[in-house]
Amino acid sequence: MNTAMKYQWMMMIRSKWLISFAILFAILSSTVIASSGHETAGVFTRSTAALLNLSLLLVPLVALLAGSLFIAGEKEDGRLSLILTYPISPRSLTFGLYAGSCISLWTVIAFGYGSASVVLFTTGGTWSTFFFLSFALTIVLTSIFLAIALFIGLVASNRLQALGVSLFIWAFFVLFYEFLTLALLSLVPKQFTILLFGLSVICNPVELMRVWTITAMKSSALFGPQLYEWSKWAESTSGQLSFVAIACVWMIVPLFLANVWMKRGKRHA
Amino acid sequence: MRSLFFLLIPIVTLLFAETAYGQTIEVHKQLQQAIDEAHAGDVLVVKRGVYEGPIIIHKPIHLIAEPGAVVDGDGSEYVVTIRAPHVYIEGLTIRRSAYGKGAGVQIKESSHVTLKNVRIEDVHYGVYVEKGTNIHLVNNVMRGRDVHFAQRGNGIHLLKTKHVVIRQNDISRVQDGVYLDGAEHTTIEKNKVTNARYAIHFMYAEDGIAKENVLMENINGIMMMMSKRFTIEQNTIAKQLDYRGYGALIYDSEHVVMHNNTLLYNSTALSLQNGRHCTIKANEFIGNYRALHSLYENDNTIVVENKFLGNMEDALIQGAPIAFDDGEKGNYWDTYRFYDLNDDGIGDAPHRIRSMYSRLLRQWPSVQFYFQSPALALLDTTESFFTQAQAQGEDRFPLMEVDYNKNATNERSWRLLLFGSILLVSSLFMFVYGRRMKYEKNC
Repeated sequence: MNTAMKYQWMMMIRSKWLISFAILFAILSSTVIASSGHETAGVFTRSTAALLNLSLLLVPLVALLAGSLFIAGEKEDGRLSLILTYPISPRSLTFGLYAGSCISLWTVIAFGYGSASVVLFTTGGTWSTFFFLSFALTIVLTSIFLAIALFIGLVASNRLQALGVSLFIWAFFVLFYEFLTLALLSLVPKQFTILLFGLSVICNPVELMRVWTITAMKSSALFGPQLYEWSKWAESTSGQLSFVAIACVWMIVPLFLANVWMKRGKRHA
Repeated sequence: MRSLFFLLIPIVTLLFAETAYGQTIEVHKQLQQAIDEAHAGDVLVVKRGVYEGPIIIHKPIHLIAEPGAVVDGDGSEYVVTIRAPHVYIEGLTIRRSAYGKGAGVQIKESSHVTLKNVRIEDVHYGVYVEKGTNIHLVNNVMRGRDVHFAQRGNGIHLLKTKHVVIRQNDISRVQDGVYLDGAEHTTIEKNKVTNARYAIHFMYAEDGIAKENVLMENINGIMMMMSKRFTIEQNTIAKQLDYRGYGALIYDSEHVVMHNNTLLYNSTALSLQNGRHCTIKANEFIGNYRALHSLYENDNTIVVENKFLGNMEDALIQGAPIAFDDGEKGNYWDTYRFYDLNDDGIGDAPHRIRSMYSRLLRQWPSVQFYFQSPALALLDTTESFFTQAQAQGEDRFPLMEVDYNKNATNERSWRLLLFGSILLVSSLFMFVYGRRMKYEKNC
C-alpha cells in the first residue's frame, strides 16, 4: 500500500497538468475572494456562495479527470497489469493508488486556499469560519470524487473513454442534476418536496457538500421558510452526523467497487 | 408662617400614612370580602390557595400574592375587575374567564394601576384596559386557550388608553398579543409574543415605542393600521412563516420609524401599504421569503442603510416607487454585483432591484433550496445578461460593506494569515517532497 501510494503521489505531483491546475485554482480563488472581501464573518451570503461555487464547479472536475485519466493511462500503457503481477494485494494497490491521488489533490486544494487566504489578508479582509469549513469540506469533496474517479479509471478501457465518462459524470452532478430535481419537483405532490430534497442531497455529493457547508455555518435560513423544519434538523448534531455518514458512504462504495474490479484484474493478470 | 409649617407636618404625615402606609392584612379565604373590608391604601397579602372569583377591586389597595395564590373565575366574564386608581397587584395567578368573552383582568376608567408578575391563563382576553391612564403591566405571563385564533381574545387589549407601559410580558396562544385601539403614548418593551395572530396590533394608535420585543411564530409580527408617530426599534421579528404572514405590515399609517430591527425567516419581512413619512433604517432583513413589499403609494417613505442578506426576493414593488437611498447612502444588498473603485463604500453603479428567478419561486417556493447553487447561479447570471427583467426599484448609492468592524479586523486577520500560511507551507512542502521522492529506492 505504501509503495503504491508513493508511486501514485509521485506520478501525480510531477504532472504539469496538475501543477497548472494548482496555479489556476489559486488565482481563481484569490480573485473571487479578493473581489468579494470584507464580508460579514460567519454569515453565508452570495459572495461566500461564489467561493463555494468555485470549489463545487472545479474540484469535482479536476478530481474526476486527474484520478480517472491517471489510472486509465496506467492501464492503457500496461503498467497497471505489470504492477498486478507484483506480490501486492489488490486491496493495498487500490487504497495505495487512492491515498496517493488524495495527497496530491489535497496539496493542490491547500495551495489554492492558502494563497486565497493570504491574498484576502493583504487586502484587509476578515477571518470567517467559512474558510475553514469550506476548506475542510472541499477536502472531503475531493476525496469522494477521487474514489469515483478511481473506479471510472479502472473500468474504462482507455484514456479517451475515462475522459468521456468523467466529463459526463461531472456535468450530470454539477450542472444537470439540479434541473432534473426541479423537473421532478413540478411532478411530485407538495408533501413529497422534503423527501425529494433529502434524496437529492443523498444522491449527489456536490449537493451534499453545498447543503453541508450552509448548514454547518448555521445559515440554512437561506433555504427559505418552506424548509424551516428540515433546516433545523440539518443544523443539529444528528443532521451533521448524517452528512458525515453519507459522505463516508460516497467514499467507501466506489472504493469497494474499485477493489472488486482490481481483484478481477489480478485474477486475469 | 412658621407655625403654619409645623401644623402642616402632621397633616402631611397623616395623609401619607393613609395612602401609602396602610395596614397589612393577611387573606386566607374570601378575598372579595377582605377587599370590601379593607381601607384605601391597605396591603392585602394573599396566602396560598384557590380563591373564588370574580373579584372586584373598587378602592386603591395592594394585593401581594404568595406563590400558589390563585383566583379562579370559574367561567365568569371578568375574573378580576379593577375600577379604582392606584391598585397594585403582584404575583397572583388569575384563571378561567368565560368562553368567547370576558377577560382575566379588566381595568376600566382607572389610573396608576400596576400588574406585576401576574400569571393569567385559560382566559378569553388577558388584560382588558378601557379608558385607563398610567397603567403598568410588567413581567406578566399570559396564556390563552388552545383553540383557533379566531376564537381567542387578545393578550393585552388597550381601548382609548393613555400612557400605558407594557414591559417584559410573555404572551402566547392569543388572538393579538398586544392590541392598541385608540391608545396614546404607549410603551411596549422587551415582551415576547408567540403563537398569536398579530403579535402587536396598532389600530388608530398614536405616539409610542415598541422596543426590544421578540415576536416569533405569529401570523404577523407587527400590524400597524391607521396609526401615527410610532418608533419600532431593536425588535427581533422572526419566523412569521405563514403563507400570507408578514414580519411587519404598515398600513395607512404615518410617521413610523423602524430602525435597527432584525427581521428574519419571515414570509414577507416588511410590507408598506399607504405609509406616509415612514423611515425604514438600519434594519437587518435576513433569510426572508421576501424582504420588502410595497403596495399603493408610500409618500415620503425612505428605506435606507438596511442590510438585505440571503433573502429569496429582495423587494416587490407594486405601486408607486419608493426611495431606497437618501441621496448619500443606500442599503447593503448581497445581490449587488459591481465595484467600488473610488473606495468610498458606495457602489459605483446603482443597484437595480430585480427579483431572483422569481417566476420559478412563485410557483414553487421550495426552489429556494437551490439558492445560489452552482447550476442556478449560472442560470441566474446568464439570464441577467440576456433578459431585460424590469427593475422593481433603484438604489443609487448601494453600500458595499456590512458590519465591517475596523477594530476587530486586526485580530481576525492574523488568524487568516496563520490559516493561509499553514496551508501554503504545508502544500509546498508536500509538493517538493513528492517531486524529490525516489520511487526506485522504495521498490
